[in-house]
Amino acid sequence: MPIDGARSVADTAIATDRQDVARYGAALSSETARNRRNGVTLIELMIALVLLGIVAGGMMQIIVRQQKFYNGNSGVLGTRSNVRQGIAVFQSDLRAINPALDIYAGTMQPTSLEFREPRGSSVICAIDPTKQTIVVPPPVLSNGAGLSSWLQAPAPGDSVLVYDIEARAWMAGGAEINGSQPTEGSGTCTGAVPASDAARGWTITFKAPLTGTVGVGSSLRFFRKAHYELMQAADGDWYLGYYDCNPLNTPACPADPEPISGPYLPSTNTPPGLQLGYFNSSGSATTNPAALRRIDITLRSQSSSTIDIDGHAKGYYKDSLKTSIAVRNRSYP
Amino acid sequence: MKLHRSGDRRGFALLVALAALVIIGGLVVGAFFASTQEFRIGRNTVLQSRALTAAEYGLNSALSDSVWQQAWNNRVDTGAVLTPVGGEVLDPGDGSSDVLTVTVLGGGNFLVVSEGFSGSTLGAQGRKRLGGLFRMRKPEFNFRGAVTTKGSMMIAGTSEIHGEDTSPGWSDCPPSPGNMPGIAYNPTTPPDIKCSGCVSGNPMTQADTAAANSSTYNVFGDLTYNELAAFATKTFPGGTTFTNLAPMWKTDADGNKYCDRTYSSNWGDPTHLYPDPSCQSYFPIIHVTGNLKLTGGAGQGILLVDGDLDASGGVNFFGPVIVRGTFSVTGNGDGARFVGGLMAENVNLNQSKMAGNAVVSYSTCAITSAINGSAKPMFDGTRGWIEMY
Repeated sequence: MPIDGARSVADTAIATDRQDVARYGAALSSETARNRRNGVTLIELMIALVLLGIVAGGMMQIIVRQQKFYNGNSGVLGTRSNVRQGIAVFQSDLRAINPALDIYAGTMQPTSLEFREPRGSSVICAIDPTKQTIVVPPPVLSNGAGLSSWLQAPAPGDSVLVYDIEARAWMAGGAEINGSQPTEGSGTCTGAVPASDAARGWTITFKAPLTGTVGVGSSLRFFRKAHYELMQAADGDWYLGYYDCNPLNTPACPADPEPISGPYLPSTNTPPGLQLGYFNSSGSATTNPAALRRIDITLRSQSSSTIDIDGHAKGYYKDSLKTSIAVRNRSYP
Repeated sequence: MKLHRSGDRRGFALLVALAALVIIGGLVVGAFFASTQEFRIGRNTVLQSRALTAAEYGLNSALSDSVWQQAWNNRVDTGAVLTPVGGEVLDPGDGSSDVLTVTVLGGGNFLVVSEGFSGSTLGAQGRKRLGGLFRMRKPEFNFRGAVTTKGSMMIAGTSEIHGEDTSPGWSDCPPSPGNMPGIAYNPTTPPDIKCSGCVSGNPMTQADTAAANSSTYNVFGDLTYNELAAFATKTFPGGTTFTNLAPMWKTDADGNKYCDRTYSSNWGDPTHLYPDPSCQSYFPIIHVTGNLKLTGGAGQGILLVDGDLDASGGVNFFGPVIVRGTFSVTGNGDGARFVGGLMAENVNLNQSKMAGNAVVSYSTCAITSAINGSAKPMFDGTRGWIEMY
């Protein structure tokens, strides 16, 4: 059975080859399957893209909405902050004025005002015989008495009112500080302060001697001419502008005010960004400083960009703040 | 051979989600920060307003009798820091507080510093400091003599009028400016003096146009008669009679005695004879809206009588007396004594109608002490209110 034997050998060889092929084929089939799993079909890709698009779109919508809210919120808060800041500045300065004596004639305008701004107060703790040089206590004393207090230290050029003890009235016209900048420790108090604080006095020299009965214990008020107005700055926006004057400068008052808060609506707007109302004791509008008892201040501002948030109309956010200031000091007939 | 696991699939959805969350978180934090800032600004504004209100409350409270001590009125030690009645800290009642500092400036002037606080001590707090220049609102009487009269004036018997400056025997009297006329009278109505040596002064009598002027009797410096009457600490109806003016005291919860100013017959202690001195500095403004009759005891202050004043007996009064009707001494008594100054439309010191002596003596000390002691603090209106920093 050579043939058979040969067939048998051949069959064996063929069988061996088939097993190899089968083994190789199986291995090949496994590798191909794995390679097939790493890829995506077009349908899978499209589904993934659609899902991704939906998710990304949703997220973008949230982000955009959130950003709008953030911007809108910032716009609202910024606008409110502008008006609040302006009112705070005005309130503090106007409360302590005496309209009859401190508002300059013809300056009570709807969008501007010029007045003698109180900058501080003190008392005389020493005075020279010529009444041209005085010493005032330092702002903080060891016994807790607050005899001196000022926004800015008295400076040459400031005007000063002195209380005449005998006449029980303020010296008419006032005096002007001259000489060098007063500093703490430049003078010695002879009264009104504890001995331990005496050497910490501030020496103030006036342009001319004080008049009337003034001495240790006489009250002092420091002033400077101040001007407020709604002004347009170089950037085109409108601000609350301010300047103060010093007669020792040339010119005494700057040509243009400095913006101190804003921006506000323009003066051409109806109603304008700043509106000042002047009223007498019966609540009627007045142009007479002597009759002035109340000043109404209204500031209007708008956001620098449009806002689009729930609860507010789409567009520029506008807000205003109004306050009524009852002037605390006034002249009696 | 490197085999890939099915978990190694790569994607960017998680990254995108994380990035979006970071962006959204940032915006939320930004918006939250802005809102917090807005909240804080709003809260600070409220706290500042409350502190301002508390400070104003303190300034106004300082004017009240419950805070201001009448004994301060005569203080001249410039720079002295005074403690209000009940202490320096006031409670406006809305959760805020106020600290008062009163400093003597001399000349009847005071600096009141009021520092208002609001908010909790642990969290945000508002603080505002205000100052007030107070001066004593006091009348400026224009006494032209021991007795200043516009209408008829008659003195008889053993009654006496002395223009010499008399000391009531108190300490802290101001220097005497000199003697005054015994009687300053309206030039058109000379006094009827029916006794010898019963009037003295420099000069004894003086015709004075000011005595003829109604404003002398009605305008006292800053104050009119009616304004001064409105300041009265004791007001009585017409027809009131006091038989025994005398100081009166009460005892507080701690057992300390104090002057009972509410007692109607307590017009202070001019005699200084009682062991408790708390009524010595009490100078009431007494206003009687009609006729008044005094028959005994002692008092001090400013006496305003819209009608007639009849002093019949041993009453002693120290201070200015303004009578819009007739001042008379009638009936029986031990001798009325008025030390200070007397202004009256008409005066009738007719000793023949009473058993004792009536004496009117001019006294700068009694007048000044009564004016200062009864004065009320007031804002200096023109520049009194100050913002302190």
